[in-house]
Amino acid sequence: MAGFDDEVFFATIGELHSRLMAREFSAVELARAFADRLEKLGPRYNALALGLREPALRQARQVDDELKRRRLRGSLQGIPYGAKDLLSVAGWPTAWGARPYVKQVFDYDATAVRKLSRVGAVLIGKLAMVELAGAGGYRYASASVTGPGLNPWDTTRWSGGSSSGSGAAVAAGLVPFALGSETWGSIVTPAAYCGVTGLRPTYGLVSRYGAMALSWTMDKIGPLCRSAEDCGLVLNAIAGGDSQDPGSAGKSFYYAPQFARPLKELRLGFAPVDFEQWAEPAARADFLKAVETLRGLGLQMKETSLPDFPYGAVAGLIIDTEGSAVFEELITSGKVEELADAKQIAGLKAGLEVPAKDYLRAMRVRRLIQQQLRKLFIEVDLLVSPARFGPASRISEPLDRPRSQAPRPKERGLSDLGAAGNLAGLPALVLPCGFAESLPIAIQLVGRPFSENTLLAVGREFQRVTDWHRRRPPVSP
Amino acid sequence: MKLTRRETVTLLGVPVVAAPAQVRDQAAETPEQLLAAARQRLKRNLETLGKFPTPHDAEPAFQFKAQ
Repeated sequence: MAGFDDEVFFATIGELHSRLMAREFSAVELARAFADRLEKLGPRYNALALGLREPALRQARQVDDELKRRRLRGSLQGIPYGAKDLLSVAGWPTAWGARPYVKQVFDYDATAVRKLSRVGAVLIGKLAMVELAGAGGYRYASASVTGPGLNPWDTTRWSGGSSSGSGAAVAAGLVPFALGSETWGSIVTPAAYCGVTGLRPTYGLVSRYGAMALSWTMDKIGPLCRSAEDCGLVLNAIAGGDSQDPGSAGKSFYYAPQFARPLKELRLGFAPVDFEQWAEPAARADFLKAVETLRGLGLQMKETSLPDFPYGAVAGLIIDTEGSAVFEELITSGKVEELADAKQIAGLKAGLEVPAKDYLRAMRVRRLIQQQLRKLFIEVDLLVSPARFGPASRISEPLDRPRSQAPRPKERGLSDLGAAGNLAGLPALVLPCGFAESLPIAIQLVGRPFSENTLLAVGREFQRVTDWHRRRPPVSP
Repeated sequence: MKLTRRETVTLLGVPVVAAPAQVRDQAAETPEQLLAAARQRLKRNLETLGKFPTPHDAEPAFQFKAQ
Protein backbone atom coordinates (compact mmCIF):
# COMPACT_ATOMS: atom_id res chain seq x y z
CA MET A 1 0.00 0.00 0.00
CA ALA A 2 3.03 2.29 -0.53
CA GLY A 3 2.00 5.89 -1.06
CA PHE A 4 -1.49 5.39 0.25
CA ASP A 5 -2.41 6.43 3.74
CA ASP A 6 -5.49 7.31 5.76
CA GLU A 7 -5.77 10.63 3.92
CA VAL A 8 -6.67 8.55 0.88
CA PHE A 9 -8.61 5.76 2.55
CA PHE A 10 -10.85 8.21 4.39
CA ALA A 11 -11.12 10.76 1.60
CA THR A 12 -14.44 11.81 0.12
CA ILE A 13 -15.35 11.10 -3.47
CA GLY A 14 -14.64 14.72 -4.39
CA GLU A 15 -11.18 14.58 -2.82
CA LEU A 16 -10.30 11.32 -4.54
CA HIS A 17 -11.61 12.65 -7.84
CA SER A 18 -9.41 15.76 -7.57
CA ARG A 19 -6.34 13.67 -6.86
CA LEU A 20 -7.10 11.31 -9.73
CA MET A 21 -7.50 14.26 -12.07
CA ALA A 22 -4.23 15.73 -10.79
CA ARG A 23 -2.57 12.36 -11.61
CA GLU A 24 -1.34 11.97 -8.05
CA PHE A 25 -2.18 8.30 -8.58
CA SER A 26 -3.83 6.25 -11.27
CA ALA A 27 -7.19 4.50 -11.09
CA VAL A 28 -5.35 1.16 -11.12
CA GLU A 29 -3.16 2.18 -8.19
CA LEU A 30 -6.19 3.42 -6.28
CA ALA A 31 -8.24 0.28 -6.99
CA ARG A 32 -5.31 -1.95 -5.99
CA ALA A 33 -4.77 -0.05 -2.74
CA PHE A 34 -8.42 -0.29 -1.75
CA ALA A 35 -8.66 -3.95 -2.85
CA ASP A 36 -5.60 -4.77 -0.71
CA ARG A 37 -7.17 -3.01 2.26
CA LEU A 38 -10.63 -4.51 1.77
CA GLU A 39 -9.24 -8.06 1.48
CA LYS A 40 -6.92 -7.59 4.45
CA LEU A 41 -9.21 -5.76 6.85
CA GLY A 42 -12.68 -6.75 5.59
CA PRO A 43 -12.58 -10.15 7.33
CA ARG A 44 -11.73 -8.40 10.62
CA TYR A 45 -15.25 -6.95 10.59
CA ASN A 46 -16.92 -9.82 8.71
CA ALA A 47 -17.60 -7.14 6.11
CA LEU A 48 -16.41 -8.86 2.95
CA ALA A 49 -18.55 -11.36 1.07
CA LEU A 50 -16.46 -11.58 -2.09
CA GLY A 51 -13.40 -9.74 -3.38
CA LEU A 52 -13.52 -8.68 -7.03
CA ARG A 53 -9.89 -7.66 -7.51
CA GLU A 54 -9.31 -8.90 -11.05
CA PRO A 55 -12.41 -7.39 -12.69
CA ALA A 56 -11.81 -4.22 -10.66
CA LEU A 57 -8.28 -3.85 -11.96
CA ARG A 58 -9.48 -4.49 -15.52
CA GLN A 59 -12.06 -1.78 -15.16
CA ALA A 60 -9.58 0.59 -13.54
CA ARG A 61 -7.21 0.11 -16.50
CA GLN A 62 -10.02 1.19 -18.80
CA VAL A 63 -10.60 4.25 -16.64
CA ASP A 64 -6.92 5.19 -16.82
CA ASP A 65 -7.08 4.81 -20.58
CA GLU A 66 -10.14 7.05 -20.72
CA LEU A 67 -8.55 9.65 -18.47
CA LYS A 68 -5.49 9.75 -20.72
CA ARG A 69 -7.81 10.46 -23.65
CA ARG A 70 -9.75 13.02 -21.57
CA ARG A 71 -12.95 11.00 -21.84
CA LEU A 72 -14.39 12.28 -18.58
CA ARG A 73 -17.43 10.69 -17.00
CA GLY A 74 -17.83 12.70 -13.81
CA SER A 75 -16.83 12.55 -10.17
CA LEU A 76 -17.22 8.79 -9.76
CA GLN A 77 -14.84 7.87 -12.57
CA GLY A 78 -12.12 5.66 -11.11
CA ILE A 79 -13.60 5.67 -7.58
CA PRO A 80 -13.62 2.20 -5.98
CA TYR A 81 -16.75 1.03 -4.19
CA GLY A 82 -18.43 -2.03 -2.66
CA ALA A 83 -21.93 -3.38 -3.20
CA LYS A 84 -24.12 -5.23 -0.74
CA ASP A 85 -24.15 -8.91 -1.68
CA LEU A 86 -27.84 -8.59 -2.46
CA LEU A 87 -27.03 -6.98 -5.83
CA SER A 88 -26.18 -9.22 -8.75
CA VAL A 89 -22.90 -8.91 -10.62
CA ALA A 90 -22.78 -10.97 -13.80
CA GLY A 91 -20.78 -14.17 -13.48
CA TRP A 92 -19.99 -13.80 -9.78
CA PRO A 93 -21.64 -15.40 -6.76
CA THR A 94 -24.45 -13.44 -5.13
CA ALA A 95 -25.22 -15.19 -1.86
CA TRP A 96 -27.73 -12.77 -0.30
CA GLY A 97 -25.88 -13.42 2.97
CA ALA A 98 -27.46 -16.86 3.21
CA ARG A 99 -26.01 -20.37 3.13
CA PRO A 100 -28.65 -21.80 0.74
CA TYR A 101 -27.57 -19.28 -1.91
CA VAL A 102 -23.76 -19.36 -1.72
CA LYS A 103 -23.47 -20.92 -5.18
CA GLN A 104 -26.01 -18.65 -6.81
CA VAL A 105 -24.69 -16.84 -9.90
CA PHE A 106 -26.61 -14.43 -12.13
CA ASP A 107 -25.69 -13.62 -15.70
CA TYR A 108 -26.56 -9.94 -15.48
CA ASP A 109 -25.63 -6.89 -13.45
CA ALA A 110 -28.09 -5.15 -11.17
CA THR A 111 -29.14 -1.83 -12.68
CA ALA A 112 -27.48 0.17 -9.88
CA VAL A 113 -24.19 -1.67 -10.49
CA ARG A 114 -24.50 -1.20 -14.26
CA LYS A 115 -25.17 2.52 -13.85
CA LEU A 116 -22.14 2.95 -11.61
CA SER A 117 -20.03 1.05 -14.10
CA ARG A 118 -21.23 3.39 -16.84
CA VAL A 119 -19.86 6.43 -15.00
CA GLY A 120 -16.56 4.66 -14.32
CA ALA A 121 -16.93 3.67 -10.66
CA VAL A 122 -14.88 0.55 -9.91
CA LEU A 123 -16.54 -2.29 -8.02
CA ILE A 124 -13.91 -3.93 -5.81
CA GLY A 125 -16.04 -6.26 -3.70
CA LYS A 126 -19.39 -7.60 -2.60
CA LEU A 127 -20.14 -6.68 1.01
CA ALA A 128 -21.61 -8.86 3.71
CA MET A 129 -25.21 -8.63 4.84
CA VAL A 130 -27.74 -10.20 7.17
CA GLU A 131 -29.13 -13.33 5.52
CA LEU A 132 -31.98 -12.53 3.14
CA ALA A 133 -31.82 -8.94 4.44
CA GLY A 134 -33.57 -10.13 7.58
CA ALA A 135 -36.67 -11.66 6.01
CA GLY A 136 -38.64 -13.36 8.75
CA GLY A 137 -37.08 -11.31 11.54
CA TYR A 138 -33.78 -12.33 13.18
CA ARG A 139 -32.81 -12.39 16.80
CA TYR A 140 -29.00 -12.23 16.66
CA ALA A 141 -26.38 -10.24 14.76
CA SER A 142 -24.91 -13.61 13.75
CA ALA A 143 -27.76 -14.11 11.24
CA SER A 144 -25.43 -14.19 8.24
CA VAL A 145 -23.33 -16.74 6.39
CA THR A 146 -20.35 -14.45 6.96
CA GLY A 147 -20.92 -14.15 10.70
CA PRO A 148 -22.01 -11.11 12.70
CA GLY A 149 -21.12 -7.73 11.23
CA LEU A 150 -18.53 -6.24 13.59
CA ASN A 151 -18.38 -2.51 14.20
CA PRO A 152 -15.04 -0.84 13.35
CA TRP A 153 -15.47 1.45 16.37
CA ASP A 154 -15.67 -1.53 18.71
CA THR A 155 -15.66 -5.07 17.44
CA THR A 156 -17.72 -6.30 20.38
CA ARG A 157 -20.56 -4.26 18.88
CA TRP A 158 -22.72 -4.87 15.83
CA SER A 159 -22.23 -2.93 12.61
CA GLY A 160 -26.01 -2.90 12.11
CA GLY A 161 -28.17 -4.61 9.60
CA SER A 162 -28.98 -5.64 7.15
CA SER A 163 -26.37 -3.69 5.15
CA SER A 164 -23.76 -4.68 7.77
CA GLY A 165 -20.72 -4.91 5.50
CA SER A 166 -21.61 -1.69 3.68
CA GLY A 167 -21.66 0.29 6.93
CA ALA A 168 -18.49 -1.28 8.35
CA ALA A 169 -16.50 -1.04 5.11
CA VAL A 170 -17.18 2.67 4.65
CA ALA A 171 -16.50 3.40 8.32
CA ALA A 172 -13.17 1.54 8.31
CA GLY A 173 -11.98 3.18 5.09
CA LEU A 174 -12.11 -0.09 3.11
CA VAL A 175 -14.18 1.52 0.34
CA PRO A 176 -14.93 5.20 -0.36
CA PHE A 177 -18.64 4.38 -0.65
CA ALA A 178 -20.95 1.41 -0.75
CA LEU A 179 -24.39 0.43 -1.95
CA GLY A 180 -26.87 -0.91 0.57
CA SER A 181 -30.58 -1.54 0.64
CA GLU A 182 -33.41 -0.81 3.02
CA THR A 183 -36.81 -2.34 3.56
CA TRP A 184 -37.11 -1.23 7.18
CA GLY A 185 -33.93 0.18 8.72
CA SER A 186 -31.25 -1.59 6.71
CA ILE A 187 -29.44 1.56 5.54
CA VAL A 188 -30.36 3.80 8.46
CA THR A 189 -29.18 1.37 11.16
CA PRO A 190 -25.70 0.49 9.83
CA ALA A 191 -25.07 4.12 8.84
CA ALA A 192 -26.00 5.28 12.36
CA TYR A 193 -24.11 2.52 14.17
CA CYS A 194 -20.97 2.88 12.06
CA GLY A 195 -20.90 6.70 11.96
CA VAL A 196 -21.26 7.13 8.21
CA THR A 197 -23.70 9.13 6.11
CA GLY A 198 -26.48 7.06 4.57
CA LEU A 199 -29.25 7.89 2.15
CA ARG A 200 -32.45 5.90 1.83
CA PRO A 201 -33.98 7.17 -1.40
CA THR A 202 -37.69 7.55 -2.08
CA TYR A 203 -39.32 4.23 -3.00
CA GLY A 204 -39.07 3.80 -6.77
CA LEU A 205 -36.31 6.37 -7.37
CA VAL A 206 -33.53 3.78 -7.69
CA SER A 207 -34.11 0.63 -9.71
CA ARG A 208 -34.12 -2.65 -7.80
CA TYR A 209 -33.59 -4.74 -10.90
CA GLY A 210 -30.98 -7.36 -10.04
CA ALA A 211 -31.49 -6.93 -6.30
CA MET A 212 -32.85 -9.63 -4.02
CA ALA A 213 -36.50 -8.99 -3.26
CA LEU A 214 -37.61 -8.99 0.35
CA SER A 215 -40.71 -6.81 0.12
CA TRP A 216 -41.75 -5.74 -3.37
CA THR A 217 -43.60 -2.72 -2.04
CA MET A 218 -40.93 -1.52 0.42
CA ASP A 219 -37.43 -2.37 -0.91
CA LYS A 220 -35.08 0.53 -1.75
CA ILE A 221 -31.42 0.71 -2.87
CA GLY A 222 -29.22 3.54 -1.59
CA PRO A 223 -25.67 4.66 -0.79
CA LEU A 224 -23.60 4.74 2.39
CA CYS A 225 -20.84 7.33 2.11
CA ARG A 226 -18.51 9.71 3.96
CA SER A 227 -20.72 12.76 3.50
CA ALA A 228 -24.07 14.04 2.31
CA GLU A 229 -22.29 15.45 -0.73
CA ASP A 230 -21.02 11.97 -1.64
CA CYS A 231 -24.51 10.51 -1.20
CA GLY A 232 -25.78 13.07 -3.69
CA LEU A 233 -23.08 12.18 -6.22
CA VAL A 234 -23.82 8.46 -5.95
CA LEU A 235 -27.59 8.95 -6.08
CA ASN A 236 -27.11 11.09 -9.17
CA ALA A 237 -25.53 8.06 -10.85
CA ILE A 238 -27.89 5.31 -9.72
CA ALA A 239 -31.31 7.02 -9.74
CA GLY A 240 -33.72 7.05 -12.64
CA GLY A 241 -36.55 5.16 -14.25
CA ASP A 242 -36.12 1.52 -15.24
CA SER A 243 -38.71 -0.50 -17.14
CA GLN A 244 -37.18 -3.65 -15.64
CA ASP A 245 -38.28 -2.63 -12.15
CA PRO A 246 -42.08 -2.71 -11.81
CA GLY A 247 -41.81 -0.43 -8.76
CA SER A 248 -39.81 2.22 -10.60
CA ALA A 249 -41.28 5.70 -10.28
CA GLY A 250 -39.90 6.61 -13.70
CA LYS A 251 -38.36 9.76 -12.23
CA SER A 252 -34.90 11.08 -12.81
CA PHE A 253 -32.72 12.78 -10.24
CA TYR A 254 -30.06 15.44 -10.69
CA TYR A 255 -28.00 16.30 -7.67
CA ALA A 256 -28.38 20.05 -7.35
CA PRO A 257 -28.52 21.08 -3.68
CA GLN A 258 -27.65 24.64 -4.68
CA PHE A 259 -31.15 24.96 -6.13
CA ALA A 260 -32.91 23.69 -3.01
CA ARG A 261 -34.95 26.23 -1.06
CA PRO A 262 -32.91 28.40 1.33
CA LEU A 263 -32.63 26.77 4.74
CA LYS A 264 -34.30 29.75 6.40
CA GLU A 265 -37.48 28.95 4.48
CA LEU A 266 -37.59 25.32 5.60
CA ARG A 267 -39.77 24.19 8.50
CA LEU A 268 -38.18 21.32 10.41
CA GLY A 269 -40.53 19.18 12.47
CA PHE A 270 -39.17 17.59 15.62
CA ALA A 271 -40.47 16.11 18.86
CA PRO A 272 -38.53 16.99 22.03
CA VAL A 273 -39.62 13.68 23.60
CA ASP A 274 -37.55 11.78 21.00
CA PHE A 275 -34.34 13.42 22.18
CA GLU A 276 -35.17 13.80 25.87
CA GLN A 277 -36.91 10.51 26.67
CA TRP A 278 -36.86 8.01 23.80
CA ALA A 279 -33.12 8.50 23.31
CA GLU A 280 -30.84 6.52 25.60
CA PRO A 281 -29.42 8.72 28.40
CA ALA A 282 -25.84 8.55 27.12
CA ALA A 283 -26.92 9.84 23.71
CA ARG A 284 -29.22 12.69 24.73
CA ALA A 285 -26.65 15.48 25.05
CA ASP A 286 -25.23 15.06 21.55
CA PHE A 287 -28.67 14.58 20.03
CA LEU A 288 -29.84 17.84 21.58
CA LYS A 289 -26.71 19.61 20.34
CA ALA A 290 -27.51 18.36 16.84
CA VAL A 291 -30.99 19.89 17.06
CA GLU A 292 -29.45 23.17 18.18
CA THR A 293 -27.00 23.01 15.28
CA LEU A 294 -29.91 22.65 12.86
CA ARG A 295 -31.67 25.56 14.52
CA GLY A 296 -28.46 27.57 14.19
CA LEU A 297 -28.48 26.96 10.44
CA GLY A 298 -31.66 29.00 10.28
CA LEU A 299 -34.21 26.21 9.92
CA GLN A 300 -37.60 27.01 11.44
CA MET A 301 -38.08 24.46 14.22
CA LYS A 302 -41.62 23.27 14.73
CA GLU A 303 -42.76 20.76 17.32
CA THR A 304 -44.76 17.93 15.84
CA SER A 305 -45.57 14.25 16.23
CA LEU A 306 -46.68 11.38 14.05
CA PRO A 307 -50.37 10.70 13.52
CA ASP A 308 -51.68 7.80 15.57
CA PHE A 309 -51.20 4.57 13.61
CA PRO A 310 -49.86 1.09 14.46
CA TYR A 311 -46.80 1.62 12.25
CA GLY A 312 -44.77 -1.31 13.53
CA ALA A 313 -47.62 -3.78 13.21
CA VAL A 314 -48.38 -2.66 9.64
CA ALA A 315 -44.76 -2.74 8.50
CA GLY A 316 -44.12 -6.06 10.22
CA LEU A 317 -47.14 -7.71 8.67
CA ILE A 318 -46.39 -6.48 5.16
CA ILE A 319 -42.73 -7.49 5.27
CA ASP A 320 -43.50 -10.87 6.86
CA THR A 321 -46.14 -11.67 4.26
CA GLU A 322 -44.26 -10.44 1.20
CA GLY A 323 -40.95 -11.88 2.42
CA SER A 324 -42.43 -15.33 3.00
CA ALA A 325 -44.09 -15.23 -0.42
CA VAL A 326 -40.76 -14.29 -2.02
CA PHE A 327 -39.03 -17.22 -0.31
CA GLU A 328 -41.89 -19.72 -0.48
CA GLU A 329 -39.82 -22.25 -2.38
CA LEU A 330 -36.95 -21.98 0.10
CA ILE A 331 -39.40 -22.53 2.96
CA THR A 332 -41.43 -25.40 1.49
CA SER A 333 -38.31 -27.21 0.21
CA GLY A 334 -36.89 -27.32 3.72
CA LYS A 335 -33.70 -25.51 2.69
CA VAL A 336 -34.78 -22.68 4.97
CA GLU A 337 -33.35 -24.79 7.81
CA GLU A 338 -29.87 -23.91 6.51
CA LEU A 339 -30.28 -20.31 7.63
CA ALA A 340 -28.24 -19.26 10.65
CA ASP A 341 -30.93 -17.66 12.78
CA ALA A 342 -33.59 -19.94 14.26
CA LYS A 343 -36.02 -17.10 14.86
CA GLN A 344 -35.76 -16.05 11.25
CA ILE A 345 -36.56 -19.59 10.09
CA ALA A 346 -39.67 -19.60 12.24
CA GLY A 347 -40.70 -16.14 11.09
CA LEU A 348 -40.46 -17.10 7.43
CA LYS A 349 -42.60 -20.18 8.01
CA ALA A 350 -45.25 -18.26 9.94
CA GLY A 351 -45.40 -15.55 7.29
CA LEU A 352 -46.72 -18.07 4.77
CA GLU A 353 -49.82 -18.51 6.89
CA VAL A 354 -51.06 -14.90 6.78
CA PRO A 355 -54.50 -14.79 5.14
CA ALA A 356 -54.84 -12.53 2.10
CA LYS A 357 -57.49 -10.41 3.82
CA ASP A 358 -55.08 -9.56 6.63
CA TYR A 359 -52.30 -8.59 4.25
CA LEU A 360 -54.77 -6.43 2.34
CA ARG A 361 -55.94 -4.85 5.55
CA ALA A 362 -52.36 -3.88 6.38
CA MET A 363 -51.99 -2.40 2.90
CA ARG A 364 -55.20 -0.42 3.35
CA VAL A 365 -54.02 1.01 6.66
CA ARG A 366 -50.76 1.79 4.90
CA ARG A 367 -52.71 3.93 2.44
CA LEU A 368 -54.21 5.88 5.36
CA ILE A 369 -50.74 6.34 6.81
CA GLN A 370 -49.52 7.70 3.51
CA GLN A 371 -52.42 10.16 3.34
CA GLN A 372 -51.90 11.40 6.89
CA LEU A 373 -48.16 11.82 6.41
CA ARG A 374 -48.88 13.86 3.30
CA LYS A 375 -50.94 16.18 5.50
CA LEU A 376 -48.13 16.35 8.05
CA PHE A 377 -45.81 17.51 5.28
CA ILE A 378 -48.09 20.47 4.60
CA GLU A 379 -47.14 21.79 8.03
CA VAL A 380 -43.43 20.95 7.85
CA ASP A 381 -40.88 20.43 5.08
CA LEU A 382 -38.66 17.97 6.91
CA LEU A 383 -38.65 15.86 10.04
CA VAL A 384 -35.67 15.15 12.27
CA SER A 385 -35.31 12.43 14.87
CA PRO A 386 -32.61 10.14 16.24
CA ALA A 387 -31.74 7.58 13.55
CA ARG A 388 -31.44 5.04 16.38
CA PHE A 389 -32.05 5.93 20.00
CA GLY A 390 -28.68 4.69 21.14
CA PRO A 391 -25.35 3.37 19.90
CA ALA A 392 -24.67 -0.04 18.38
CA SER A 393 -25.86 -3.05 20.33
CA ARG A 394 -23.54 -5.74 21.61
CA ILE A 395 -22.94 -8.69 19.30
CA SER A 396 -24.31 -11.22 21.77
CA GLU A 397 -27.36 -9.12 22.63
CA PRO A 398 -30.75 -10.36 21.37
CA LEU A 399 -32.02 -7.73 18.94
CA ASP A 400 -35.68 -8.32 19.65
CA ARG A 401 -35.63 -7.39 23.32
CA PRO A 402 -35.75 -3.90 24.85
CA ARG A 403 -32.30 -2.57 25.69
CA SER A 404 -33.54 -0.60 28.63
CA GLN A 405 -35.75 -1.47 31.56
CA ALA A 406 -37.00 2.12 31.68
CA PRO A 407 -40.72 2.55 30.97
CA ARG A 408 -41.64 3.64 27.46
CA PRO A 409 -42.34 7.36 27.18
CA LYS A 410 -46.04 8.17 27.07
CA GLU A 411 -45.76 10.51 24.11
CA ARG A 412 -45.15 8.93 20.69
CA GLY A 413 -43.28 11.89 19.21
CA LEU A 414 -41.58 10.77 16.00
CA SER A 415 -40.36 7.54 17.58
CA ASP A 416 -41.96 5.42 14.86
CA LEU A 417 -40.48 7.46 12.03
CA GLY A 418 -38.49 4.45 10.79
CA ALA A 419 -41.55 2.32 10.17
CA ALA A 420 -43.68 5.28 9.07
CA GLY A 421 -41.10 6.58 6.60
CA ASN A 422 -40.56 3.18 5.04
CA LEU A 423 -44.29 2.48 4.78
CA ALA A 424 -44.82 5.79 2.98
CA GLY A 425 -41.70 5.36 0.83
CA LEU A 426 -40.14 8.58 2.15
CA PRO A 427 -36.46 9.44 1.73
CA ALA A 428 -34.17 9.63 4.78
CA LEU A 429 -30.68 11.02 5.25
CA VAL A 430 -28.60 9.75 8.17
CA LEU A 431 -26.06 12.21 9.58
CA PRO A 432 -23.55 11.27 12.30
CA CYS A 433 -24.01 13.72 15.17
CA GLY A 434 -21.90 12.60 18.12
CA PHE A 435 -20.95 9.70 20.37
CA ALA A 436 -22.40 7.68 23.21
CA GLU A 437 -20.37 5.02 25.02
CA SER A 438 -17.54 5.94 22.59
CA LEU A 439 -19.71 4.79 19.67
CA PRO A 440 -21.25 6.92 16.93
CA ILE A 441 -24.83 8.12 17.03
CA ALA A 442 -26.76 9.86 14.26
CA ILE A 443 -29.86 11.83 13.44
CA GLN A 444 -32.10 11.18 10.45
CA LEU A 445 -33.77 13.78 8.27
CA VAL A 446 -36.93 12.58 6.53
CA GLY A 447 -38.69 14.48 3.76
CA ARG A 448 -41.50 14.32 1.25
CA PRO A 449 -41.22 11.81 -1.59
CA PHE A 450 -38.51 12.86 -4.07
CA SER A 451 -37.19 15.65 -1.81
CA GLU A 452 -33.65 14.22 -1.79
CA ASN A 453 -32.06 17.49 -2.90
CA THR A 454 -33.61 19.29 0.07
CA LEU A 455 -32.40 16.62 2.51
CA LEU A 456 -28.94 16.69 0.98
CA ALA A 457 -28.78 20.50 1.06
CA VAL A 458 -29.55 20.48 4.80
CA GLY A 459 -27.16 17.58 5.34
CA ARG A 460 -24.40 19.37 3.51
CA GLU A 461 -24.83 22.48 5.64
CA PHE A 462 -24.95 20.40 8.84
CA GLN A 463 -21.68 18.75 7.84
CA ARG A 464 -20.15 22.12 6.92
CA VAL A 465 -20.44 23.20 10.56
CA THR A 466 -19.77 19.83 12.24
CA ASP A 467 -17.06 17.22 11.83
CA TRP A 468 -18.74 14.06 13.14
CA HIS A 469 -18.76 12.57 9.64
CA ARG A 470 -14.99 13.07 9.50
CA ARG A 471 -14.24 11.07 12.65
CA ARG A 472 -12.40 7.79 12.04
CA PRO A 473 -12.47 4.58 14.04
CA PRO A 474 -9.16 3.20 15.33
CA VAL A 475 -8.28 0.95 12.38
CA SER A 476 -4.77 -0.47 12.59
CA PRO A 477 -3.47 -1.89 9.30
CA MET B 1 -18.32 -17.00 -16.70
CA LYS B 2 -20.08 -18.92 -13.99
CA LEU B 3 -18.11 -19.86 -10.92
CA THR B 4 -18.93 -21.33 -7.60
CA ARG B 5 -17.72 -19.43 -4.59
CA ARG B 6 -15.09 -22.09 -3.97
CA GLU B 7 -13.86 -21.81 -7.59
CA THR B 8 -13.79 -18.05 -7.26
CA VAL B 9 -11.71 -18.26 -4.16
CA THR B 10 -9.27 -20.63 -5.82
CA LEU B 11 -9.07 -18.41 -8.85
CA LEU B 12 -8.55 -15.14 -7.04
CA GLY B 13 -6.81 -16.32 -3.94
CA VAL B 14 -9.19 -14.18 -1.93
CA PRO B 15 -9.86 -15.68 1.47
CA VAL B 16 -13.47 -16.46 2.08
CA VAL B 17 -14.51 -14.79 5.27
CA ALA B 18 -14.67 -17.54 7.81
CA ALA B 19 -18.04 -17.66 9.44
CA PRO B 20 -17.53 -17.86 13.16
CA ALA B 21 -19.53 -20.43 15.03
CA GLN B 22 -23.07 -19.24 14.63
CA VAL B 23 -24.69 -18.07 17.79
CA ARG B 24 -27.75 -20.27 17.81
CA ASP B 25 -30.69 -19.24 19.81
CA GLN B 26 -29.32 -18.88 23.29
CA ALA B 27 -32.74 -19.06 24.86
CA ALA B 28 -32.62 -22.72 23.74
CA GLU B 29 -36.14 -22.51 22.41
CA THR B 30 -37.15 -25.39 20.21
CA PRO B 31 -38.11 -24.77 16.56
CA GLU B 32 -41.72 -25.49 17.53
CA GLN B 33 -41.60 -22.90 20.30
CA LEU B 34 -40.07 -20.35 17.96
CA LEU B 35 -42.74 -21.04 15.33
CA ALA B 36 -45.45 -20.66 17.94
CA ALA B 37 -43.89 -17.38 19.05
CA ALA B 38 -43.73 -16.14 15.44
CA ARG B 39 -47.40 -17.02 14.95
CA GLN B 40 -48.23 -15.24 18.18
CA ARG B 41 -46.36 -12.15 17.03
CA LEU B 42 -48.31 -12.11 13.76
CA LYS B 43 -51.54 -12.63 15.67
CA ARG B 44 -50.74 -9.64 17.88
CA ASN B 45 -50.06 -7.51 14.83
CA LEU B 46 -53.34 -8.61 13.29
CA GLU B 47 -55.23 -7.82 16.48
CA THR B 48 -53.65 -4.37 16.59
CA LEU B 49 -54.68 -3.80 12.99
CA GLY B 50 -58.13 -5.21 13.66
CA LYS B 51 -58.77 -2.45 16.18
CA PHE B 52 -57.95 0.17 13.61
CA PRO B 53 -60.92 1.56 11.68
CA THR B 54 -60.46 1.26 7.93
CA PRO B 55 -62.86 3.34 5.80
CA HIS B 56 -64.61 1.55 2.96
CA ASP B 57 -62.80 3.62 0.34
CA ALA B 58 -59.27 2.92 1.62
CA GLU B 59 -57.63 1.01 -1.22
CA PRO B 60 -54.56 -1.14 -0.58
CA ALA B 61 -51.34 0.83 -0.99
CA PHE B 62 -49.91 -0.89 -4.04
CA GLN B 63 -50.11 0.09 -7.64
CA PHE B 64 -50.58 -1.97 -10.74
CA LYS B 65 -49.73 -0.19 -13.94
CA ALA B 66 -51.41 -1.43 -17.13
CA GLN B 67 -48.72 -1.60 -19.79
